[in-house]
Parts: sequence; C-alpha cells; structure tokens
Amino acid sequence: MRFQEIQEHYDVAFRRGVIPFLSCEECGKSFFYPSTRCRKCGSARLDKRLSAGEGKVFAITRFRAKDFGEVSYGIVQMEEGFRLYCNFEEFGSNLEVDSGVKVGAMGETFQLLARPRTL
Amino acid sequence: MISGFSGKIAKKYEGSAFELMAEVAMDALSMAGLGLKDVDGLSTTFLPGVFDGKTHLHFQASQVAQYLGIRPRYLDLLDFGGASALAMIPRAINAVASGLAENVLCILGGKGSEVRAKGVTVDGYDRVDKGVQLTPFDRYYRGGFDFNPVTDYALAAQRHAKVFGTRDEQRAMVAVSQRKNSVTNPYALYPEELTVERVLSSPVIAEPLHLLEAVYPVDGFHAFVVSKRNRTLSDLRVEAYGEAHWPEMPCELDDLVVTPALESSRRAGFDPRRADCLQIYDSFTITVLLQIEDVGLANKGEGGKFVESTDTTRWGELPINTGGGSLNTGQPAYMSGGVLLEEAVRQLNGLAGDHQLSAVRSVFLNGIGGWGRNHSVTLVLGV
Repeated sequence: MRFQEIQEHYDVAFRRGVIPFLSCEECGKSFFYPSTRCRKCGSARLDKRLSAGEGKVFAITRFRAKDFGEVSYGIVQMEEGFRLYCNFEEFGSNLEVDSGVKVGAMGETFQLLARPRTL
Repeated sequence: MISGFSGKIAKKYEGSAFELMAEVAMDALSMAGLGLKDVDGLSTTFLPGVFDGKTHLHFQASQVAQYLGIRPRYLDLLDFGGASALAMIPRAINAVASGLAENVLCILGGKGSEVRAKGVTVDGYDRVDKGVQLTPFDRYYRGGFDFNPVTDYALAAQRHAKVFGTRDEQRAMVAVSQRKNSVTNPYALYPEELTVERVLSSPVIAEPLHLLEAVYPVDGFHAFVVSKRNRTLSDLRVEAYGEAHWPEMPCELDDLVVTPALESSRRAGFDPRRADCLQIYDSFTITVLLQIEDVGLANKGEGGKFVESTDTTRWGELPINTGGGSLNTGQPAYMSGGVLLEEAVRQLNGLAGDHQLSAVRSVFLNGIGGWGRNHSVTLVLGV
C-alpha cells in the first residue's frame, strides 16, 4: 500500500468526522499514526479501517495557552487498541483518567476532539 | 580521557552563539594545555533556533569547525538532545583509542533565549517555521493542540499520579533537595532555599506540573576535551555505559511512566547505589522521579516514596544532582546534558568548590533527550 493511499483514506475519514486507523493483517497490531509498514512486525499487509470512536482517557492535562486560553489536551485509548493525542476543549474539566469518551475529527485541520461519552 | 572542560551559562548572552561557543572551547583547551592546532576531532550537536535563532545550520559540524578554524580528521554530529553530551564522551574515547584522533573537542549548547523569544520551544519550532517537520505524519498529529516538553511531561506526571498515587508533594521534594544542593554553586540562578509549599504555590504550567518543577531555558555552552594525553585532570575511565533509543510517540509506548533509561541502565549493568553521587537528567521533577525508578533505585511507581524517605542532598546517603542540576543553573539551549557532565567531572576532580563531596571515586549519570523522551544514555565515570 502506498502512503498516498493511506493518506486518502485518512482524509476521507476525517471529512466524515470519523477516526481512521490501520490494522496489521499479519500480527493484528492497530495504530493511528500512519505508516506503510506495521511498526510491530514490519508487514506491508495493512488494512485501512474506521474507528467506532469509543475510547477512554489515558492521560489528560490542562493549561493556559497565550492565544487559546484554557486548553485541555491528552491521550485517548481507543477500543480498537490504539492510542492518539486529542483535544478535550471545554469538556476537559469533567474528565479524568478512564473517563469514557467519544472521539471525532473536526474541520480541515483534522482537529481530533474527545468529549464525554454521555453527551 | 577528559583533559579539559568548560561551561558558561547566562540567562541572556548578548552576542552570537558562535562567539560564546568559541570562548568556551578555548577555555576547555586552555585547561588541557592545548591549542586549536592540536584539535583533530570534533563532536557537536544541534537543535533548531539555538544558534542565533536560525532554524538550521547547513552542515552544522562543518560550520562549528569552520568558525573555530579546525580541520578535523574525526567529525561527529549527535542528535540525541539532552542525552547527546553523555554520548559524546565514549565515542570520543573510542576515536582516540582507535587512533582516529588525538584530541577530540566535544562541544554543545546555544542560546535558549532566541527560541524563548519566539514563544515556542525547540520541540515546537514548526510553529514559527513551516519548513520544520516533527514527525512523518505531522498533518494528522498536529490536529491536536500542542505537544511540547511541558505538556508531554505533564501527561507523564499525571499518569504517574493516577497509576501509582504519586503526590505533588513528592515531586516537589525533588526541587527542594536540588535547591539545597545549589545554594553554594556559583553557577546557580536562584540563591534562596525552597520549600515544598513554595514549589506547590508557584503557578501551574500544565497540570499537575508547577513552574518551580521545570527548567528555565538559558544561553550557554559546555566543552569537554578528550585526549590521548592528559596533563591536568585526574585520569577518568568509563566504568559502565549503555544507551537506548525509543522512537515511538509517547502515546504509543506501553505506558507514559517508563523511559528508555530502563534499557540504557540495564545495558550499563552498574548498580547506581555503588556510585558516590548521581547526576540525573532534570528537565522536570517528574523526569528525575521516572529515572530514579528506571535506573533501579526504586521499584516502578515508588519514586515518590523514595524521594521522601531518602536524603538525596549532597549531605545525604545518596546525593543526586550535587550542584543543584539544571533546575537551578537553567537549561542551556534546551539540553541539560552538559550541566550534568560538567558537575560529574568537577566532583571527580575535586573541583566542585563549596559543593564538593569528599572522596568521589565514581559518578553515575543518566541523560534523557529527544522529542518525547526518545533517547537515554547511562554513563558511569570513575577515577
């Protein structure tokens, strides 16, 4: 699979607001950050998939950024087995490690946003 | 072995990085009884922005050699961030031992103030220069708001607190102990003693980290000369060495609470308790805590209890960062490795002045560097 093909899969998914990922057909490893090779076993046999968007907060921090005000940012463990960095935005104050979240993609800049699953 | 060294640090150096670099290089060579004409090996490193705000120096090592007027037969450019300084020494020793060079000048540093003035860190330099790429997949990664050393270590600290129950007060103890060590260090930025309460009342920079748990980026260079013949300093030897490079994004590691120090220290195979003191990379308090666990001083998750129950000041049973570390001198050009190495060489040579320990025969060093704690170097120097 060419990198461009993976990129197209990601771009289409993001435009639909869905999180794409890759799954290795050899070893079963799932990962979000794209590559043409499985980072665990090196296989090129990768399956392009779409996540259901369900996950749990793995780590979270909050800070003030000069141009953005209060920022909440961290890592989400997705049910499909991969992790990714996400913004929590205004939902951050209601979240802690292991809180259930729904992750989606927003806008042309592929902003990844996690919000509490109950919303 | 190390025949000369020098280090100069300033909050803001009014001059070119090249100028300060040359001054530090000449001081180190002078201590070694050498001149530039004697240098036939050069080892250096680079981070974006630290040479007078330039994103990139074209053929960096050549430019350093060009400015100094050196024509080396051994030339090395390391790219391990804060771990580069420690990795330079065994490489330079090997170069000398194998006849590739007689005198290797190892030099690192730059101007943190130039990067600070742009409102970014070296790990966020893509914010000010679109030609900088942080990962092969920035387009997808940079959808998130910000990942920089502060937020990265904040996530590690928060995860450590959640998984192991580590308290803010325990992390603050690291800053308090190091400050005690620094009060007689002439290179320290902050003269007053610290308390846990004062650390925890400083502003939160990214939950759960406070301002006084983080290094301040400054200007500075360190230089170390590794020579076949040593006329001035004690003959040091590398008692143990290991390095490890984990290229994964931190979120893709098994957990955020482990560092490659786990692997580099295993490779070194040296019990850190056997050393007379330790110099541990201290970009943040949590960085020290993680390495205390990873190098084997405490079980994973028990670093907080360790710093509460162990006197790590220079008067205690296990002195760590005897000059106060870079938490107190500042972090030159976003790399603390030179600070650690200079302090180790000073201690081993009885040149640490008012903060000299008695009878230092071996020093355990661990350096961490790279984007997201990618590199770890464990080095034990002995005399």
